Amino acid sequence: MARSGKREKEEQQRFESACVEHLDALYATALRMTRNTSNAEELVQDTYVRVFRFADSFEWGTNLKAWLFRILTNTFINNYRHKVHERRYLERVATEPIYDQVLDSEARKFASDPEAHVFSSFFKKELDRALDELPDDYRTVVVLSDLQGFSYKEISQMMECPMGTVMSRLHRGRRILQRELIDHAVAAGIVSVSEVEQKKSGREPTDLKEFRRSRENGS
Amino acid sequence: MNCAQIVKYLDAYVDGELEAGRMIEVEAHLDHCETCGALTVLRRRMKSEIAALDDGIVAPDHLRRRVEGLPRTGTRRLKVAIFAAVPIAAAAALLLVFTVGPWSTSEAGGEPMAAVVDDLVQRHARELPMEFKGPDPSLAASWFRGKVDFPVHAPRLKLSNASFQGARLSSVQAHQAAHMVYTVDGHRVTLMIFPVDNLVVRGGNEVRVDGKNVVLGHRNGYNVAVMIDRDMAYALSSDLSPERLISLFTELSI
Repeated sequence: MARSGKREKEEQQRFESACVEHLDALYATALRMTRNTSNAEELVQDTYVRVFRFADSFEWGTNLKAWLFRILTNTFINNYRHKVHERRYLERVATEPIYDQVLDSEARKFASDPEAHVFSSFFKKELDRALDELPDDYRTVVVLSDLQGFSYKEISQMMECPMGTVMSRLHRGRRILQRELIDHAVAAGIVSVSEVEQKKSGREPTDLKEFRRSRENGS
Repeated sequence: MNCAQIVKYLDAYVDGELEAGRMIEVEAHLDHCETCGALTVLRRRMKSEIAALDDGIVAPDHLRRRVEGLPRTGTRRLKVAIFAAVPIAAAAALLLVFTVGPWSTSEAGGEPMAAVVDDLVQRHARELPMEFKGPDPSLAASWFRGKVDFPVHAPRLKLSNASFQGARLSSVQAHQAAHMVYTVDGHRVTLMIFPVDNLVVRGGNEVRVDGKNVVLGHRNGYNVAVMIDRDMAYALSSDLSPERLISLFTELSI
């Protein structure tokens, strides 16, 4: 009896230290999810409270990092995300059916430009900001995929949604980022406005920011 | 494949998640299309730039101290000991083959069995109201038609001390499930029927019943037995013993 008690204690210690090894990655992701240091700290702490409480449901041999991130994602979705902001943004994206085609041609133009391949530190900052401005569901998928390297399947388990939903959120999220980068490239003069405007001819910009920018450039 | 089609697969391609056949098609296109090639380079670059955004982010010391000082409310028992404690010998007479599977359940990166068991027990424990009331299970089967996209046979238990209570729509790990409740020997038994799809319902304690795999699990005092038959899962959850649940499968004519 005493022997099995000792083994259980060792098992518990091994489990706890393995969990704490992922603290930095969980914190970085929580920071992306909540976009605020004090909320991120609180989210990480809540996550670990649940990790230690449900320690028994983890099985060795399965992916510990994925299990921890699943609890983090769950805690975030249930307690932290801002539903109102999300709905508004999703509606906006959904009402732009022609946007995909236009973006594709813009992105091809942008990608073909050798200058655009240079991601300067300026660009990095822009990417950082654009990522933070993505709606929660899109941002979470992009962060879990690109920052933490989880597979579509693992993400679908973390977010408790079908793989198809993960893929469409990732696709949408990246397109928004791509668009922000192109807009930024245009604003910074890396890609000339006329080239992009040509592609857009016959179309009123549906995005307010873009609309205003095109008005400024036109006047 | 044309340029518009490529865009649909580009994310999965860049993420290395595209199945081999599609990958060959995408690569064949990229070989001769310069603009799609450039777009792929841009996507790859964007992905790697994002990957590097949080390099060097470390949790603050005060957070680390807080986490390390958190109360350990759960206990981490030895899995082997838990499973060994499940009294299974009594049921062995019913079984054609008896095997104990590996403890690791994440083969092929699938859904760990634990997550499925969590859901099943949660649905059972909550005693949710039924949308379709008993006592005739065959009417329940027709009630499910058109509501779920998989076949539902609501089995009539051949036992005299069993009755069908009702049915409702439910879910297991974001998969639609047909949820049925029976009473057996005065104990509530939940039967959940759902397509296996990408869920992994294996590992842990596996037994063979009538040539089919049955996986056993338990959580919060409830026992769960899941039978897999032609890509469909039939899960029983109850406070009945695991061997009683296994024996119920022989009563269900699925």
